Amino acid sequence: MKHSFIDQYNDLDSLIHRLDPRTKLITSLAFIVAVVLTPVSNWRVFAFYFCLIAALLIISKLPPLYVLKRSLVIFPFVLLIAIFIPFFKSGEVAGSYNIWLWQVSVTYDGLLILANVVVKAWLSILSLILLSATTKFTELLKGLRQLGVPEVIVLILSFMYRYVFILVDEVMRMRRARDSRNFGGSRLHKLRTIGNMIGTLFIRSYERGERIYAAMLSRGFDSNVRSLRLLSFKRVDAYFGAAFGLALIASAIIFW
Amino acid sequence: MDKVVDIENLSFSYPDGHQGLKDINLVVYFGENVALIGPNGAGKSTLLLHLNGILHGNSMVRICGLPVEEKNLKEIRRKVGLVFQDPEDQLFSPTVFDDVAFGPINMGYSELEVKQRVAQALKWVGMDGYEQRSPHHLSVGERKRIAIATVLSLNPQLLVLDEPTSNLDPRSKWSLIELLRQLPMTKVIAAHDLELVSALCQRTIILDEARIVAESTTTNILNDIPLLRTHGLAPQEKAIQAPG
Repeated sequence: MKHSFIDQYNDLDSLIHRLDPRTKLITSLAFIVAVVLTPVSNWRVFAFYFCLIAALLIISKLPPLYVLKRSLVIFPFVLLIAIFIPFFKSGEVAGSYNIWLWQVSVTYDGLLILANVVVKAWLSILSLILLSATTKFTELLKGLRQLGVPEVIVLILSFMYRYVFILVDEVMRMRRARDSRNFGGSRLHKLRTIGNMIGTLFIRSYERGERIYAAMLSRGFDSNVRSLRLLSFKRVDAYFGAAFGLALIASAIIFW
Repeated sequence: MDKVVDIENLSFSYPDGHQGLKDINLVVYFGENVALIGPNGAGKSTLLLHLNGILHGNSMVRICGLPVEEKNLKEIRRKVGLVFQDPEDQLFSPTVFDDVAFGPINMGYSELEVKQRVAQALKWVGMDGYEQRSPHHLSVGERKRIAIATVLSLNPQLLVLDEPTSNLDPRSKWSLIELLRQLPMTKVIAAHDLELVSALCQRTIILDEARIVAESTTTNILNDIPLLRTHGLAPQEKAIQAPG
């Protein structure tokens, strides 16, 4: 089965796609740090960040709807963590409610922080989508390696990329096999079946891991991860990096 | 003639006590193609894993005269190219290039030599130009070929294959057999596919319940239907009759 949930738009051609993965990694990281460090009330800076990332997304030719859908994935996590902030932050009260025995009040400061957390998370995820959708995963791994990320971590990421597709295949086959023999049953029974499937998947993955390790040993693997160096910076990387850095610094100077 | 594989009285038990191999004696000479057949669970894969020191039994295995022990492992694994049955296990890198280059990089060859070896290995299996593809975008037949290329890049003296034709359609199967025929090195092939065995191997060994139970030329073995039947390698008489 073919899956394309990781590398769907990596084959497009644009200025952003052609950049060295290291340039993209560093600028993405710089962007996220800048977003996170920007003070809460500085809305103009956030507007500027949004324009910046939106411009890059347009240059990258990624379909806007795809980017939007992808970016929504982050909200459940952010909301789960941040939803209680308005209730706990002290300050001017925006509204107060009686829920049974408790009196709960929402403050303006709290709401501001909630909005801020959501905006920061969204801007960060946009930049990560830009990074991951315009860079082939293999290039990203090379970039990480050359930026000095430990080889073991790069190796783990590369295994994840290689085997996530096979695991998904396995889950789909198991689901199909279950559905072909599914004659209803109680909810508890269904839950138990899912539990069994997860267990089976774990054991199969564990056994596959052992076979892969044997295959690695057979080709001379001795726990030292080695690799060739294959990337090189181009002039456009320097221009892009410099322009992006200037934009971030300028935003800090002008709007603060 | 030179002995590529030399095994004397090898027995092996898995940690759970299950006996994997009993008193195995096996010699493979330079340039031979030897088939290893037998029912599921007979110990074929277990025996193959002894040939490059992934598993260790109670006695010494010699490869090209070199005992398989800790200090020789690197040299042994360069000489013995072991191709696993499932290419999904053999191909664990994000691109074809990374996988074929894995062995040569581990052996510490220079960047230039690694690239040359990868190009040569891919050419041998007829897959040049696939360097930057991802294994999960290839067909089963293509994956099998790449899996073989991953060991050819080390230029091994002994090619050990576990069920090379499993899961292949007839066309891919015969083109893979043709490919293997053209590779000059000594081969040990574990297989259920008797067509593959008769097409490639001069000598055949039957393994059943962890022991070698028969050893002869492939023609002798494959024509001895009662023998094959005893070990579950040919259908029982009743089953052969065509329906209707």
